[in-house]
Amino acid sequence: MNLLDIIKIGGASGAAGLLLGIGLVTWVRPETSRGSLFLILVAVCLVSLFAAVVTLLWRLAFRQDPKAPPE
Amino acid sequence: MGFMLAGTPAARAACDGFFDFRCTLDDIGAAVLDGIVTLPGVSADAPVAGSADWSSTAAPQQTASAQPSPSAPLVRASRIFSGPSQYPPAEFAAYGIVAFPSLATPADRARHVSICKAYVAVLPNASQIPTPRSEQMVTVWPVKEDALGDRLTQAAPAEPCEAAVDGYGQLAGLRAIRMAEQVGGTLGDGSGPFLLAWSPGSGHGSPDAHVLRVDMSHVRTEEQAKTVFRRWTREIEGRPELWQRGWDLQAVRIALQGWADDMGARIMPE
Repeated sequence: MNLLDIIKIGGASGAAGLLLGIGLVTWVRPETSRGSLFLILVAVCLVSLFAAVVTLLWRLAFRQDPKAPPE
Repeated sequence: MGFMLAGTPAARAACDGFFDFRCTLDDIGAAVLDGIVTLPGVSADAPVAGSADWSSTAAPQQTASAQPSPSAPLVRASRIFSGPSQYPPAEFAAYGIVAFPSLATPADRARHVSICKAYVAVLPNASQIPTPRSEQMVTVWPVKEDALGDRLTQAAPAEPCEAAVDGYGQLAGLRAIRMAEQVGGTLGDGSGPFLLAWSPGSGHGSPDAHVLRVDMSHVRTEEQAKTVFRRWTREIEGRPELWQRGWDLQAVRIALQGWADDMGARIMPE
C-alpha cells in the first residue's frame, strides 16, 4: 500500500464519517455544540476504523505473492 | 423512577409494565443486543418487566383487566414529597422513588435542583388531580422529615425544589438503591438519580422481585430531565398493551443526546 492508497482510503472514510456524523447530529440534536462536535468526531473515528479494518482484511485475503509471476 | 405496584389487581393491571433507560452507551449496546428481557416465571397475574435502554418496557400481558374502562381518568401519574414515616405511601395504586446515591454538594446542587424542577413541572401534585389516590401512580421524592414532606407537597410548583434538595431523604434513597442492587446487581457509579421500581410492587424487598431501573446519570439539564419525566408519565399512563417492547429509536436518540453532551463537555472543557 502506498501513500496514495492511504490518502484515498483515509479521505473517503473521513468524508463518509463526516457525513455520518452530520446525519447523527441532525437526528440526535445534542444540546451543546461540544456534544455535536464529539458526535461527529466519534462518527469519523468509527468509520475510519471500519475502513482500516476492512482494508487490512481485504489485503490479507487477497494478498499477492510477490514472487509469483504476473498473470 | 419506577413504580412499585401496591398489589391490587386493578392497580397491577394498570401498571404491569415498566421501562428502563440507562443512559450509557454500553447500555444502549446491551439494549440493542438484548432487545427485550423476558422475565421467567411471570404469569399474567404478575406484571412483567423489561429491561433495556430508555424505552425498554415490559412485555405486557394481554389480560382483560388490562383494558382501561372508558371512564378511566386521564391523569394518573402524580408526585409527592414524603417523609420517613410516609414512605412507602400506602394509599396509592403504585409508587416509585427518585433515589439519589448522594446528597447534593455545592458542585452538583444546581443539577439536583434542575432535576427536581423538572419533576415538579412534569408530574402534577397528587392532591391536585381529580383521580382518586387509589388509582394514582405516584412518584416519591423522599425528604428527611414528615413535616417537610407535607409542606413541600402543598407548596406551589415554583417553590419546593431548593428545600427538597437540601432536605433530601438520603436514607430512603440509599435503602431503595441497596434493595435494587440486592436483586438486580450493581447500579454502577453514576451520579444518579436512579429511578427504581419493583415488579410486582408487593415484591418490594423480595429477592425474587424484578427490579426496574432508570439511570438519569447523564441528564445534565432541566430540559433533558423534563424529557425523561414526560416520557415516563406518558408510558405509565398509557395502556399497558400499547407500551413499547424493547428499545425504540426515540429512546436511543435521547440516550445518545445525553451521552454526546456529557462526553463532549468532558473531553472539550470550556
